[in-house]
This record gives sequence, C-alpha cells and structure tokens, in this order.
Amino acid sequence: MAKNASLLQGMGNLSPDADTLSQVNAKPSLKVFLRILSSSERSKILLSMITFFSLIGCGLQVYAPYFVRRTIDLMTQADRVIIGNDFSVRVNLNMSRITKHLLFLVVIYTLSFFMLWLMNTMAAYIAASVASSLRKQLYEKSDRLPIGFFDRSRDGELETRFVYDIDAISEGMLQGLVQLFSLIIIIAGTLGFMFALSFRMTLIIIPLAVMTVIIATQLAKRTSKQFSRQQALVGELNSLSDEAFTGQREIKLFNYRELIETRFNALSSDLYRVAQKAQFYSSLPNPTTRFMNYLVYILIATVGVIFGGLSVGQISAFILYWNNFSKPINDFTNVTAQIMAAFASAERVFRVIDMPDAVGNGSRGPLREEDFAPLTERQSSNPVAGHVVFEHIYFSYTPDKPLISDVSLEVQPGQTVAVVGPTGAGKTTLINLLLRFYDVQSGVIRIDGQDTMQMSKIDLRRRFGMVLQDTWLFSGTIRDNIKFGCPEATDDAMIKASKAAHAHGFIKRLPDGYDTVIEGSGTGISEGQKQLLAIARVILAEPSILILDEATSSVDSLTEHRVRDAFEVLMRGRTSFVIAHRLSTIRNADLIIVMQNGNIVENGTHEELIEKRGVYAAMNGFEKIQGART
Amino acid sequence: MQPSLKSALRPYLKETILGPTFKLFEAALELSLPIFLARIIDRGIAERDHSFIIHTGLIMLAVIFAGLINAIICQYFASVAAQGFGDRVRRDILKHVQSASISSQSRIGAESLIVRMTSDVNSLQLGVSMLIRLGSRIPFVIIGSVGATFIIDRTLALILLVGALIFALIMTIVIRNSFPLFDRVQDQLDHVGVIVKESVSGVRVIRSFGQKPRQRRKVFNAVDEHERAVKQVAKWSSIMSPVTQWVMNLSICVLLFTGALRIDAGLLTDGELVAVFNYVVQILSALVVVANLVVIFTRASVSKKRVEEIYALPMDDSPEGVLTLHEDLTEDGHIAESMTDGPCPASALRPGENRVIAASSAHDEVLAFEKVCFSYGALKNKDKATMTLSDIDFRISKGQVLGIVGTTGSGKSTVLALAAGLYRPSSGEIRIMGQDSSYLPVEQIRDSIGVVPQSPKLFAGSVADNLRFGNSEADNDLLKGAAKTAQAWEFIKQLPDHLESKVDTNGRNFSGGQKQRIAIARAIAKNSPILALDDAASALDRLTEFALYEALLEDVKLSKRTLVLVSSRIAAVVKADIILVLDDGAQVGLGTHEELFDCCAPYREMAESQHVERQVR
Repeated sequence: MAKNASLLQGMGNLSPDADTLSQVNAKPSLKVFLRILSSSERSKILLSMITFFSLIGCGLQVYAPYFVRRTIDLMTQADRVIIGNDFSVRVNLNMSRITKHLLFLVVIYTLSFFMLWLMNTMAAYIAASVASSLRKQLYEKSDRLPIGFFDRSRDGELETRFVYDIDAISEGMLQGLVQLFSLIIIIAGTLGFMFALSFRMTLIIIPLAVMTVIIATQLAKRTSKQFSRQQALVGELNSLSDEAFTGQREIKLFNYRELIETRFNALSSDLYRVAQKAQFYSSLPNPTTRFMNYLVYILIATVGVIFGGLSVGQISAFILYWNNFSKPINDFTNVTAQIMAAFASAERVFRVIDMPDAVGNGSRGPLREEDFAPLTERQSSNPVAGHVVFEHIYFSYTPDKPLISDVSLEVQPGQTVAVVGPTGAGKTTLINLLLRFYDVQSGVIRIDGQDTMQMSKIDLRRRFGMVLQDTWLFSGTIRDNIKFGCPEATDDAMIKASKAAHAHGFIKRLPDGYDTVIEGSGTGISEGQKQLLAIARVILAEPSILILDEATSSVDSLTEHRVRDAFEVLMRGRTSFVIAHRLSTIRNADLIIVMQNGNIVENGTHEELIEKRGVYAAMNGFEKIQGART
Repeated sequence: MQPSLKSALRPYLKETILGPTFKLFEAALELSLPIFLARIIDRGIAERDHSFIIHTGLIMLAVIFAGLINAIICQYFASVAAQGFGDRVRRDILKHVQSASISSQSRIGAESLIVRMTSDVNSLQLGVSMLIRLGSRIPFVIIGSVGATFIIDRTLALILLVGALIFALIMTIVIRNSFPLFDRVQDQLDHVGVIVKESVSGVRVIRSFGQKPRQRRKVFNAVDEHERAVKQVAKWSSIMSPVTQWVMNLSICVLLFTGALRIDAGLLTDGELVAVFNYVVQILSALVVVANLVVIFTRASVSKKRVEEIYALPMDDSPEGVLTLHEDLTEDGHIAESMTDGPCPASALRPGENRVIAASSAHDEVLAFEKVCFSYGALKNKDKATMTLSDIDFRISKGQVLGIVGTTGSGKSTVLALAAGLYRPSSGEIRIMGQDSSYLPVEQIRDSIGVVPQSPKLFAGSVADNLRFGNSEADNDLLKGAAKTAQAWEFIKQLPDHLESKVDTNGRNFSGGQKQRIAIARAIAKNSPILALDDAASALDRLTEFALYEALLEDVKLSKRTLVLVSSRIAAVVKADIILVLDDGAQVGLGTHEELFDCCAPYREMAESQHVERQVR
C-alpha cells in the first residue's frame, strides 16, 4: 500500500489524469490478452511452458507437507508405542524410512525450486519482450499518426501510455497472471490436502481465513481513504515546492521567503497529520494477520488435538498448510487489482494503436531499408527549383469552422514570400498545409509541378528547412542539435553554419563549447540563443525551400539584423516563406501576402501594397506612428 | 546554522525509543509460544490431559493478545516519529534552499530539488519507520530463537545457526547483485520517457527535417536497452523467492533428520522437536524481512546523501556588516515610511567603518556600479575576455531613468541580477542608496529594488495575492493603481472576479503579455526606491508597450523613484536620462540618446538597424 502511494507520487506530472482514470472500468477480455501476447513471437510457447512449470512447481510445493507429516509421525508415533512413565526409556525409530522420506522431501523441494525459478525467469522475459515490442508498436504508430493527433493530445499523454501504461501491462497482465495462476493452484491444492488431513479441522479454520481477509480489506479501505487524502495534500505540497524552487529568483527579489515558509509549513503539518494516520492504519494489517495466524496455531494445537484427534505430525503439517494458505489469500486481492489495472492500460494503449494513419504517408508500414539511408544521398537525388503553387485550397481544423477558403498563390523559384496578418489569420496553417502536417480538404499544392499529395512526406519535407516559433532542441550536445538535419556534416561545416547564424560566439564561451549538453530547461541558454542554434541547424541542412515562422521574434533587433544577413545569403536562389510581425523586416520580400480570416486579402511588393493604401498600408502606417511616438 | 537529519529526529526521541521497546515485548511474547506448544505436545497430548491443553491454550491466547496490543502501540509510535521526522526534514529543506544562493541552487536544479523534497524524504521516512518497527524486532527474534533452541538442544542450535548464516549469505549475494540493476532499470525507463517526450514536443521539427527514422532508432535503442536491463535484473529477481523457500525447506529437512537422530538417542522430546521446528520457521522468515530491510535502508542512505547535499549548499552570501538606510531615507518621506522598521543606526553601525563617508558624499545617489566585473564561474584567471561583465561603471540618482541596451547575451540581465544582490560582483563595488551593497543584508538590498524579470513567474493564488507578493500590506487601491500603470487593469477588470480571480500554478491561465503586465504591477506595488524592468514588455503589442512606458515615466515623476529599463530595442530607452550600452559584457557607451548617437558607433548601428533616428524628443 505504502509502496503504491509513493509510486504514484514519483509519477508526478506523468500520472494519468482524471479523464483517463475514469475509463478504468475495462473488462478483462481474452481477445486483449491474446493480442498482447501476439506482439512477441515466442510468447505463446513460453506461456504454455510457464503454465506447465507452475503446475508442477506449485503442485510439489503443496504436496511436500504430506511427507513432513509422515516423517514426524514416524518419529512421534514410534515414540508413543514405547513410551512409559519413565522418560529415560530409549526410543527405537525407523531411521531408514525417515531418511528415505526426508531424501524424497529434498528432491521434491529442489525440483519445485527449479520449476519456480524457471517459471519466474520466463515470465519476466516474456513481460520484458512484450513491453518492448508494444513500445515499438506504439512508437511506430505515433510516427504514422497525423500531426493533428499531437496538437490535440494533452501534454504528456503519449508518454504516459508509453512509459506507465505499458509497464502496467507487462507487470500486471503477464507477471500478475502467472502469479494468479500459481496462487490458485496453491490455494486449491492446499485446501484439498487440508480436507484430506482433517475435514472437521479444515471447516473450523476456513472461517478464520475468511475473517483474516475481511479484516485486511476493511483496514485497507480505511487506509485508502487516508491515502487519497494524503495524495491530495502531497499534490498540493508538490506544486508549492515546485513554485518555491522554480520561483527562487522572484522569492528572493521580493523577500517572500518567510511567507512561503509559513504556507509550506502549514501544509507540511497538515500532511503530517494525515500521513501519520495513513501510515498507522496501513501498518495494522501486519500484526493483525500475525495475530490471526497465531490464533489458528493455538486452535490447531488445542481444538485440533481435543476434538480433531490430530497427531503431532498432523499438527506440524497443518501449520505448514496454513502458512501455504494464508499468504496467497492475502496476495489475491492485490494481484487481481493489478490485473484489472493492466487491462485498463491495455485498452488505452490499443486505442492509440488502432487510430487511423495519416493518409498517403510515405513511411507507412514496416520500416524499409531506404529509411535508414544517409540523408545526403537522398537529398542529392532531388534537386528542387522551388516553384510553389497553391490552387484553390480549402481547409479547416474543425468541420464547423472553415479557416482557409479558396486560397490560390504562385511563387516563382528563388522568390521571398512574406506572409503577414493578425493572429489567427491562417499564416501558420498555410505552412502546415505546405509541409503536409495537415492535408488540404480540397485544392492542390504543387511543388515544381508535382502534386504534394502524390509525394511521400519524407521526400516532400526534405526540401524544406524551417525555424519555428517554439524552438525545439533535444537533449544532447549542441553539436548533435546543430547536426540534426544532416548528421554526417563535418565539424568545419557545422562551425561555418554556426558562425553564419551568429551562434559561434556564445557557443565558444560555454563551458564545453560544442560538446555542452543541453537538457530540459536549466542550461543557461536563453530563448534567443536557442533560436540561433535552430537557425544554425537550418543553415547547415541547406534546404531548397526556407520557412521562417516568426523565427527571430525572441532575438533582439541587432542580432536579428545579423541573422537576416546570413539568411539573405542562404535565401539567395531559394524560395523562402517568412512569417513575421515586424513589418520592417520584410520590406525586401519579392511578394508580401496579407492574410485575414483565412483569406489572402492583398498581395504584392512593399511598394505596390503601400500604393494600394489597403490593409498593409494601414498596418505599416500604424507601425510608423508607434516608432515616431516612442 | 546548518540543519541535519539528526536534529529533525530529535523531537521524536521518545517515540524512537519507546516504539522498539514495545516491539521487543511483542517479540518476547512471540518467542514464548513454541515453548507452550511443546508443553501441549509433551504433556497434553502424551498424557491426554485435556484441561492442561485448554489451560495452556488460554495462556497462549492471552500472550498473543498482549503481543497484538504491544505491536499496535509500536506501530503508532513509528507512524508519529517517521511522519513527524519527514515533516521536519521538509521544512529544513525548504528553509535551507531559500537561504542558499541562486547560483548554488542551480547546481542541484529545481526539478531535482522537488524530487528530493518528495521521494527522497519518503524513503527516509520509510527508513525511520522500519528502524522503529523492525530494527529491534528482527535481531531479537533471530537471537531469541537461536537462544531458545540452544536451551532445548545445543546441536540443533548449531545446525540452525549454520543454516541461518548460509541463508543470510545467499540473500546478501542476491540483493547485492540485483539492487544496482533495479536502479538501472528505473534510469533506463526514465530515459525512454525523456526521449519519447522529446519526440512528441519536436514532432514538427523531426518530420520537417525528415528525421523520423533517426528519432525512431533513438527510441528503439532506448527501449531495447531498457529491455536488456529488465532481463538482466530478472535473472536475479526471479530466483529470489524460490531460493528463499528452498533453503527454508531444506533446513527443515536437515532439522527433522537431526531431530530424529536426537529423539532416537532419547535426547529430545516430540514437543521440543516441534518447538525447534517453529523457531526455524521464525528465524527464516525474519531473515527474509532482513533482506527487504537491507533494500529499504540502502535506499534511505542514498536519500540521506541527497538531502545532505542540499544542506551543504552554501548560504546566500551573508553580509559582513550592517549599515542602515535610515539616515538617507528620512528625507524622502514616502520611502522612509516603508522602511521604518529597519535596524536602528546606532546599533547597526560598526565603529571605525569608513563606508559612512561614501554614503554621505553622494546624497542623491540611488544606484552606482564602480568598475564592476563579474563571472559566473570560479575565477581562474582574471582575463577580462572571459568575464560575463567587465568594468561596468555608472551612477544614477533619485528620480532618474537609466536605460540599458545591448544585444542578446551582452550581459544586460546580469547587471540587474548584480544590482538585486542575486550574485555578488567578482570585483568592484556596487552602491545602493550610497552604501556598498556587500555590507548590506540581502533583504535590505532586495527591499530597495523591484525587478521584473524577462520571463516572470506567477504563483498559484489570486491576482491580488500575486500583486501583494512584495508588499503584503498593500490595499486594493494601491494594487489597482499599480495595475493601471502596468496597463494590466484593462484585462484584470474584465476577469470574472477582478483582483480576486484565480491564477493557476506558473500563471498558466494567462497569456505571456498578461503575465508580464501582472509582474510589472507586482514590482510597482512593492513601492521600492528602484524599479527595474528586464525586457519585461517583450510580449506586449506596440501600442500597449508605448502606453506602459508613458505611464511608467509619469509614475517616476510622481513617486521620485528610480527607473531602470533594460531592452534590446532602442525605442524603449530613448527617453532615459542615461543609457548604458553593453556589448559582449563590456560597457561600450554611457550617455543620453543624442550623445550616444553621435559618439557611440555600436549604439548608432543598433539604432539605425531599428529605424530609430537621432531626433526623438
């Protein structure tokens, strides 16, 4: 119980949210189980072997106390025949039969040890390979899913499926089922032997076993109430300490320390009170079960002897049986809960795997050899002029809200196109369509005369280089990040690209230069510097068509100016799309597209549009006024 | 004063001692049970003495009942001590982190601090709880069982001891080998999670670079590595429970065989054999618990190290001397009011301290940097090229506006961080209200400057809570005024509950521009002599930004406070009284807009690239 609670805490923000938890009422089904098994090749054979080993291993385990009883009886009943009132009388035991029995016992125990060991190992192996192959299946699937899936899903949702749900499946369904199977064999077998040993005594003991289970579940209920209260407080405490630790700069600047401490200490005391109760209740089943066990021993030794006429051997055997019996019964509830959770996880995972693929995806199906070919080879095979045509395209993210309607546009090779317009005008959507992150609902986009729907996505996207609004860097060295687009580039080329992007200067000053590892958030690299890295990455990849989506918004004007110099060199001879809010930066564009509500309302050069005195001129005038006033 | 884990446990000394004591009683009672059982067998069964059996049975009943009570009392003490200890440790961690300097905190990192605060404290709590519950019981059961067997039969006791030793040896080997592997499995799984997270957040970049196969290979490698780690750990973990059972059962066989020999020789009675038999079961199950305890204590000792790492963080540089702001501030009634509970000058003044002269010489001076150099890392060589800041030198007076401009990474934010006492200069002097800041307590430095950072952080609570962050006594009118100046009132008043509207953790329910404006209002509401904005209007649209600067300048005129504006855009600072121009950590210009435009080439270059002309006023 305590372990489960701490596990949940450890999961932090990856824990399934309320919405996904509400779907936990999945029914265990054979179909789901077989589907999970089928994800690993040898799992069916292994599983039948496990069943076999478990039957034999657990069977032997159950059978053994019978010999213990026979041995003890041989020792004590021999005793009883000869014993008089004088203790010094020498007892004659049948040592050869005792030895034979004991040797037999050693064989039984050893065999069962090997069987159980094999069973456990195999179960762990299947669980690991199934988890692995499910993870790969899920990832491959996510690769084929349209980008809309990622835009729609909540932060951390896919990771939760990937890490925790699949872990729950492999632990719960495979390990849990194997355990459940052994538990059933042991409980049923032991019960049979107990009845055979003494029918009446067993009838007396069974209610006690039931009582033990009832007490344990009642205590667990109370405990879980405390635990859920504790969980809520831990959540609060976590977010408060999150704030306190990530907001240290603010807290120091505003001398807020004491107030934070007061709030935190109050919360911590509340947690203490609840957690103390939770821990106390959760620690009760242990002594209670022990008490019940002793109660059974006493019953066996008293009631069993007086009314059941048990021999000494039978008493010992009964105690062994009880041990065999009471532990699995207590485990039973845990294992079934684990299995149910596993089925719920399986349902969630398969829901993703069963989603429809993105249409016309170049990488559909199993991996192909050419997917792994070095990028430069593939790149050189399709030199692109960069002639881009949009023909009457329509698109919307949701059917009831049309966004892009009847947009047509022609861009000559080498032209620079600037797209401007207010937020929500459809600028980013245009790029999404161009790169086929989303597909047009009607209309055609052609690149060098080829319909993009007829091209594989890998082929299509390879022609583009883009710097997005949110810079994405992955955990790894700066070198790896810059070389992301073409891993085989030389260091010289990389440094040249970094210099062009004005990133070389600050990289050089980092403690490990290009080998500085970037992780998560705290690395001392500013937003602007991240963008410079992303720009260096694009410069190095030398794409045919450039896309700059407000690329330089977090870089200050001077740096932006320098970067634009570099881009101008890069853009020479390349078709480029630039999305920017700062009108001053796009003056030199060959074509300016002004978008409003999903439509292109104006297009032309800066001069032409100013001449027109339309939307663009108004926007420009506004900027001018601002500049003059400040 | 450095906190320690010991001091956190000290208040619970009573529980820590009483708990195990009660547990010892329980263990002693438990150990007596096999002896009663032996008597039942030897006398009750052999002589068919039913009343003796019932009598003994009742005694045993009383014994186990007393045992249960003792155990429950112990569990209670354990829960109080463990959770109380955890509570203290959590408080100590927070307190110490808060008093540690920002630069030392970044050594551990906020994420790791949170993990230490939660899961490491948890494993420490578990360690304390298990120490109380089982730390005394287990050794006592083992020693007691061997001892009781020794009284019954020495040979059997020796066999038992050897068996227990072999058993303990096997357990140690298994645990020693599997424990680090378990940690590796967890690490690998975390790694898988990180890479998948990366693939999700970077899905557009990955796809646009055509790097799906490469990222896929990265994920698959991580998955395969995790699988290998799991399989490796399975080799050990799958043998664990079968082997314990096996050794336990084999010991019983050996015991029965020797027992038979002893009975054959007339040295042992049936009841004694059954009693020994029970002691064996007790010892072996105690040893299984020992195995689990080893795991728990190993984890706890790792956590102990991690928590002590926090305790070892150096404190925020403590001031070497304390000088009061009192004298200087009495002239400015407005500020003096908020400072009245500062320390009394006579008591705070150190005799023979010549800093007082510096303080009085520049009467109106609010903030001054004198040849300030700074480097984040330890200073190996005083090479100015590698410094983050070198030779920064300026001074501003009450009511003035200072502008700081420069490119990304030129050190603008660092200047503010130094002024606010988040870092100490490597060399040079920073004066605040005429006093060397290294002689001022950090609280006092921070009370005199209100900073709006580049990416401000809001805290969970209400908007008003956030605005009162630096000034808990501020009334709603003051907050409203501050919000108006910060151009935040427009949207705050449209929120459902106005100032009392809810702010989520990290201000997630506000846009970037709104967060910035709340942060600016928060700094204004603090009513400090210096107000500093670190590129704090970057997410605002031009019109709002313009209105904000107008309102701030207006506010400066009224409140006589000093305003520091940090920006990469010249337009934001043209109206400043003094502009500091930074390039690559060096001060390349200091003067008014016109002066700089005429004589400072980098400044003019910047201004021209931003289409700002010389004549602006």
